[in-house]
Amino acid sequence: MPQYFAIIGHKGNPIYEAEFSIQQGNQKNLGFSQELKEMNPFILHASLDIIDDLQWQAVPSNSQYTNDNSSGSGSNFSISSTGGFLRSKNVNNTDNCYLGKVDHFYGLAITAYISYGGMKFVMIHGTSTSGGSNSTNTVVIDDNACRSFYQEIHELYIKTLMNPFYKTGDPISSPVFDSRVRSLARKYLNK
Amino acid sequence: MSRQQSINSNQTGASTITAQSPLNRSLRTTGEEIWKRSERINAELFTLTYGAIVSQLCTDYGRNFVQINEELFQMGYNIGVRLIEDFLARTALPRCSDLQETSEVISKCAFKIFLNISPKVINWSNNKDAFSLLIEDNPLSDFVELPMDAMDQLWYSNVLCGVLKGALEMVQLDCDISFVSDILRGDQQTELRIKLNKILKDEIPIGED
Amino acid sequence: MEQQIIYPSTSDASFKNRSTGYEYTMGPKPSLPDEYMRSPLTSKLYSESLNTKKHEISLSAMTFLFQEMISQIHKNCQSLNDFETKLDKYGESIGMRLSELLNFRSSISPGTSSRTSTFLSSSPVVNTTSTNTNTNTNTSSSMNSQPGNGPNRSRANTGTSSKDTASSVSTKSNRTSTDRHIHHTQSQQAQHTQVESLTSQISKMRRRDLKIIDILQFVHGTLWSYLFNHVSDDLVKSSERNNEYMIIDNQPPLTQFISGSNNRISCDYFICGVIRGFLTNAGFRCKVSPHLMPKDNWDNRTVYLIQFDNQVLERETIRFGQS
Repeated sequence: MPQYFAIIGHKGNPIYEAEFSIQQGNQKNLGFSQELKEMNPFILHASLDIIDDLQWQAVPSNSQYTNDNSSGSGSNFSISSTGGFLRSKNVNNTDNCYLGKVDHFYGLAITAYISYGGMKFVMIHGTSTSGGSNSTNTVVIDDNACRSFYQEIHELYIKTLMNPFYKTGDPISSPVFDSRVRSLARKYLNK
Repeated sequence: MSRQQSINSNQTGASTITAQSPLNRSLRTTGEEIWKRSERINAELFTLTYGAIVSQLCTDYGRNFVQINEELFQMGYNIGVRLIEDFLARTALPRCSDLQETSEVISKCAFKIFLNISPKVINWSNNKDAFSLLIEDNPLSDFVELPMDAMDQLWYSNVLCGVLKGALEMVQLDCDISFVSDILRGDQQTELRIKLNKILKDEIPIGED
Repeated sequence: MEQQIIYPSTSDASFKNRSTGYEYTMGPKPSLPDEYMRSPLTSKLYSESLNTKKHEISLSAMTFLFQEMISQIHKNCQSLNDFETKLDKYGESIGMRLSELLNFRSSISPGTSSRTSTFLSSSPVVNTTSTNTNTNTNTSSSMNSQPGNGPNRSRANTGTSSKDTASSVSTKSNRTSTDRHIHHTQSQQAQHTQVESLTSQISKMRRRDLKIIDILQFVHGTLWSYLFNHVSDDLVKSSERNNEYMIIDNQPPLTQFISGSNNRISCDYFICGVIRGFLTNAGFRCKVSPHLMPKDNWDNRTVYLIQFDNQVLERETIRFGQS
């Protein structure tokens, strides 16, 4: 299934974007449809308000945004350790960088992660069936893989940031960064 | 890691001159003992501070890297002329008899005491008036990746040349000092060249004289 | 957004001809069909571990650099205010980097981190020696050509990097760069297979700090220990104003050799900048100023006064009730 990934800076500006479409065997390109390609940045930006809100929640619970789904899909969107009764017990134990699924748009799922410096890592997960907007297939998010992917990206981002020639908020134009992100996508998201 | 490594390789006699000379062995001991007594600070703070300085210069000088090299050299020179007094006071070393000895003092005492590294001394010229320092694990350049436009022009750690220039000048050694190669530029190693022009006579010596 | 000319940043000139980085004006690029066939691009920056190396340098080296930075800034300034603002900016650029780095490092699980720190502190010499003497079979040929870049990444990562190894081997013959870069790139590839991301040592990320008191504790403890090898001497909340907090250092190390208490206190704007950058980047906008407040035998005792923006207090009240 294809993904659209972006890192969003403090002012809502993208500092990095990429599309991942993994070719499997001799199947045709499984990328987003042209229509969706153009929509992706808008879909992503529409979910930024939700992420802004979650950013400062003691326990970032996305249930208020995802519960309005049709029944049956809820179980697919496992919210990892942030949901359920754990909430009251282990507030200080839960990871609040990875927010899990924060929003959805027809068949697409949107996940997010916030770095310690408030950079937002956001990803739109498309479905494997051409990603058409009328698709009724729901995307299943593998939270563990997704979390690891984000953490690795976070680490790459910090390396970028440590370079004195890089200034926060500048687009990350390094081909090395790009190539690393893509190989991480193949490793964690190629399901 | 490699900051330790360079010391290690010296101990195992990678440099044959070093291993045989009793003077050099004592220089190394001197350097290490003074280092042990020194107040220290996280090298990353140093790295980050230097990074902030260079990146600010790039902004101030509109990415004129030739000018930035000069400015870094000048900053280093200013440091060097003050640093030598601190160095002589702390080591109480006698005047060097020749450039070879000076090279060992620079590597085993000066770099060791201030930056906790001991660059290898390599590539002596035939008439022994020039040598190179092979700087491994340069604490200035951690986390640094040069922008494409700076690759062929900027000597990122040029402040070191200035420091050596200033310090050596204060002990009557007039030298040309510059980088030959830098890992940051994609070279295999970071090499700093020191060439002695002349020994200055007409000034009052500073230090123990 | 402030528009500047963006230069791709890389340490290998061979990328010039096959640059594939993100371009702001072009938008996202799709995956290419043959992407997994290509050799992974690597560089010193991205191959180096973010893990703390616990390297130290002498305080005097840092002081010399700091003083030269001060006089450099001073030379180009019209007023004291201008000087302090500039110095603060230098500090800020460091502080904002540290807010990401130190939090991330704090996420490393205690188990692995103690193992790692033992590894780094007790046997670095042994480790580098073994690498250089070619006991490390799959990378030995190229390790020597890039001293200082690889040694501590050689451990226990076979599982995660085997795929990368395979792909880099399969494409090695396709290279068309110049001689220098062939060599360079190969050694980098070897390193690439050795890169161990810190993520593999993290079971749970440290929580982002959401409350003023939590992040100040982090500044007082972790940031101060990182910068100066000890926690700050005190962390105090102002009894008069709700948005004011104070971090106290009895003997600020960087400025101790600067003569004249007025000069010294101006130079403390560097540390103020670090604190401000750290807090602001983490979402706690504030102003920070230094104040000399000698006490007992501490003539240089400095109070860093932190004044948070109202929006920070408001957010905290809304989210967490009375702060």
